[in-house]
Amino acid sequence: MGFEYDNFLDSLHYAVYYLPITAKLAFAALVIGIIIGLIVAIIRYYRIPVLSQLLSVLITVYQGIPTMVALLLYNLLFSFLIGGVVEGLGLNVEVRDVSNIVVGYIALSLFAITSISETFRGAILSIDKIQFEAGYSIGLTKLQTLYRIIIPQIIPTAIPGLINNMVGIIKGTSLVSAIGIMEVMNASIIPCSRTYSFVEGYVAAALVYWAFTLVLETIAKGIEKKTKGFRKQLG
Amino acid sequence: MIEVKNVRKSFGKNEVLKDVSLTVDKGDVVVILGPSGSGKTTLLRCMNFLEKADEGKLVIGEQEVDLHSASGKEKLQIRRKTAFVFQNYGLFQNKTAIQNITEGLITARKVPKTEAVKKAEEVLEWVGMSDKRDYYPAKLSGGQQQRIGIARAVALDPDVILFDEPTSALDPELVGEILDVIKNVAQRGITMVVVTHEMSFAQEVASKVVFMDGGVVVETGTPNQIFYHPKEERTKKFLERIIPQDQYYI
Ligand SMILES: Nc1ncnc2c1ncn2[C@@H]1O[C@H](COP(=O)(O)OP(=O)(O)OP(=O)(O)O)[C@@H](O)[C@H]1O
Ligand SMILES: [Mg+2]
Repeated sequence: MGFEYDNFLDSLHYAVYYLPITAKLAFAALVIGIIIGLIVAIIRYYRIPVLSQLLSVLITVYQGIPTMVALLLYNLLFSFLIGGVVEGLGLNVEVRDVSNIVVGYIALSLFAITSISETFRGAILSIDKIQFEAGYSIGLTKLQTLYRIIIPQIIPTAIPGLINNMVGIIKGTSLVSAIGIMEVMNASIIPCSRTYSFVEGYVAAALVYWAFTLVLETIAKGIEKKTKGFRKQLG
Repeated sequence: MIEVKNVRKSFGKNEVLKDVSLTVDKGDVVVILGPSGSGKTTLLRCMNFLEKADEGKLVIGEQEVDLHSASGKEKLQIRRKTAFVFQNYGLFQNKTAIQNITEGLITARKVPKTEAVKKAEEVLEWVGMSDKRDYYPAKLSGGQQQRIGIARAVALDPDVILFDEPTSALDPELVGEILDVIKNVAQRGITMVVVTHEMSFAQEVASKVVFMDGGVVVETGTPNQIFYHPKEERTKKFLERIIPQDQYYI
């Protein structure tokens, strides 16, 4: 098994070229995961009847399904659904390319929501109940207490966990290559199908994922420092 | 005037408040005494909806609310007429000393920011914490935190301040100075309900002493009546245990 440097550069070129697709997938899932994950965590913290139990069951079940399996399942469901609609309408459209990326976004977002909501839930649970009570006692509403007092305190606590979630999401984006989305993983092996030597492609992909993750981690750690200024121990 | 009427509260099978009523006149300093577990904290918490009573009413001025079934809006209205000083201070960890004080003014009461800051600076000065204005609670000692906790309550200009053992989490050498701050609050004519185990404070500052035991109000009176001429056997027993005999008969 040789390592052709030129082929490697070729692969790296493709991988970097498609990094924006991977980045878009990861960012979309991360943002959706943070917003909905926070809401889910709050619903579960307040034990809002029915909704809370329902979410708890859904999350437990979902966490037991490998992301790859979920992805392939959605893909099948989705092409059936869209295919059915298109056929039903008598349209003559090629839907596969559109639906793939949508399935990718959905699967990654659901993965992000489940993992991020658990991070936030842990962070809320770590906050002393007196912080809520003091907020209520000075006359803040539940919502005001949440966004003025509680959320600013859970963010620094949650960031290390969120970094882990983010790394998981970035790794997760490589799975969508399985349903034919052209992103870093698939792009990096484009040149390899010519040479039948895949090692250059895989190394290129690994390098791009690693660098991408490193940059984001550094940014997140900067944010963490900024948001936890109120704590006694820094660093 | 503030009235608490027929409050009942159980935690599971444990009946903690059994038909407790209380009247607090404007300017009163009501001190609630009683052995551990008698329901003092629970009563204060019910008055501020931090605990949901099973039954009971609360009257503050013109407004009467049900302590069990008050609407969200009513709870908010009552909370905006009251303030709470916690045993463990309960300062907002993400806010500086002055922000802790202005938060309830600006966010809850819509006081303009400059006015709120002016008010906060005034009370900070008054509790001797002006130099710690921009400190986060994590950087303050317990005594300093409780000064801010008291300043936060006073700044809200409430109809009543509820104190739940405001000095019992403090180092003994700091208790005296915080009690002095609370005495100062009383001298301002602010209505207060204070749960405490500090007997000399009660004797000196209270306009009315309420003795609770086992979830009921056993006896109510002036400090003089309660400390020197208690009527109920349970009150006598409690005081004998708490106050050394020689002091008792002064
Ligand atoms: N959240 C709760 N859940 C269950 N039981 C509780 C809860 N809060 C208080 N209790 C119980 O209610 C009873 C009264 O408690 P409370 O804290 O009101 O007493 P207290 O008079 O303030 O006592 P202390 O002087 O020790 O502070 C106790 O038996 C306590 O165990
Ligand atoms: Mg207590």
